[in-house]
Amino acid sequence: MDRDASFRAFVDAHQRSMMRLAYLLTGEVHLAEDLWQSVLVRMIGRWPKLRDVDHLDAYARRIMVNQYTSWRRRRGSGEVPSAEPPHPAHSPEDSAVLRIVLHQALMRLTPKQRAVLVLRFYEDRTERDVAGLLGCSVGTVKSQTHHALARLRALAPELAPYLPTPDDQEHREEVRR
Amino acid sequence: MTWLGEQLARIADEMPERDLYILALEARRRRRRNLGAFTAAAMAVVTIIAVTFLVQSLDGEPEAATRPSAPPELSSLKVGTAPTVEAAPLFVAWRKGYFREEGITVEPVVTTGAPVTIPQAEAGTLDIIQADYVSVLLANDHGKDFRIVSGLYRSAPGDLAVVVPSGSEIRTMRDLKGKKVMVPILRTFESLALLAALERAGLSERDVVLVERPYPQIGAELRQGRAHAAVLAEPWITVNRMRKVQDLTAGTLAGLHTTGMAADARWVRHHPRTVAAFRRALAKAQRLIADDPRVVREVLPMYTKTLPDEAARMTFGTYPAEIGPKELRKVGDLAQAHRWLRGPVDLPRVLGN
Repeated sequence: MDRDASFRAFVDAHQRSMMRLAYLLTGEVHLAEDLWQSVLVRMIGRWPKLRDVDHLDAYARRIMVNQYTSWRRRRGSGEVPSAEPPHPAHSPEDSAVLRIVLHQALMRLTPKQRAVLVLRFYEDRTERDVAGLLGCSVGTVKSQTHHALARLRALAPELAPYLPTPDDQEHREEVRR
Repeated sequence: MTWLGEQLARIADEMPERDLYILALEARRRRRRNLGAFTAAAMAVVTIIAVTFLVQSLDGEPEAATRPSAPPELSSLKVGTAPTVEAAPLFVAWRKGYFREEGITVEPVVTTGAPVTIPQAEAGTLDIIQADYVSVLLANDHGKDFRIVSGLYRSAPGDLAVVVPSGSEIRTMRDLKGKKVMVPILRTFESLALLAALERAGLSERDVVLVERPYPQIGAELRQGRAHAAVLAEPWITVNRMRKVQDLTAGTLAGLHTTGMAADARWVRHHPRTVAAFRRALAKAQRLIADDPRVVREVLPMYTKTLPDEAARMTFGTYPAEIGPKELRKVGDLAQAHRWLRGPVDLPRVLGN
């Protein structure tokens, strides 16, 4: 019973942020719920052994991101690049429209590129953090971020003025240190 | 926070809040149970295989593996089909293993059409056949007793046409007077649609000479000048790069449910579970196609001489699994209007209701 209670507490504390992360990764409500649920199932299984893990939320995040990127590998890409990139048939200042354009462009990145962007800019993590979560080097995070941003600019040029430039990133890293 | 981070947060706001705790617990319990069931099943399979080998080595008689809980009466089916877009769900189900999931092995037998397969189904060499509804109604009108077990195809404009080689002088249906026209098979929906188009142009069946040729031969023979025009269905219109004189499934025939799967009534009575399993697998493929019509283009090269780029260009309709009296009545009315049927159509009977 105690085991269930502590798991329940963990879920309550992190469910919201994890589901939001899942949604940004998958871009789809049902897939996001599937993803979060599969993370939960894996964690219940080894819950007793997870006592000693310090940052359970980081652990859950790592499972989620890995699960997601390997899902995509195994299932093959269900991504359907639409024939044409979204056209700006609107005033580009309209932020709701820009957000839709961003969402669409985001879904056309590779899963790993998307993961890097979301962890870096939405969860506001350092490159070192992201590298730890993805299980890759800081250099890979840097290059993936660079490619992802370049691809976003190519897919949706109207977003370009709002996206961080490489200098910005250097600067942000400086500030953190 | 940067603009990007802020916008991502706004996108994340779209995610509804839902508590998955209970669901996850249940999923885990289910998975454990499945693991147990899987282990048990694996043990059973190993035992069956071992026993089979033992029996085989003793007297050479293989023991059929059995499925729990009312398996289909037949494990292997011969299914008659035709090499056109209509057959796609069969091959989708076959390729995706949907039949296997239902415990049946399907052997597709590609023929020219229902007039060929109906006698074979009656004789028992084929179990279930792809049949245009006109052929089924005609067969029953001639004293046979066939049942439609599932819907298969609903036509769309452009999937069936009268075509001519690119250099031909034939421009309209009227120009067909006195000409030789190839049809894949007589006395089917295809030839009835041709007849309807001829009559609209003020001609009759007697004004043209009809010649039967299987689909794969028509293109070459038409180019060699052995006939003046032909009735072709997709993908053969696209494959042969022919010029269309008249769309046969436009106008009054638009959106007609043309083809289903049928079987002899006696066979259906004796194999209810096989029919149900076959229907489930086929319907699953039809749902898949409804979600993503591209799978039709993917399977086409499996059973026709279609190249992938040709498959990408051709026209096709939809694949409803359901066929009701309303849809079938339209086909019956069409056949009756051209005096193909002697008696009235017994819709409930042919639909097995």
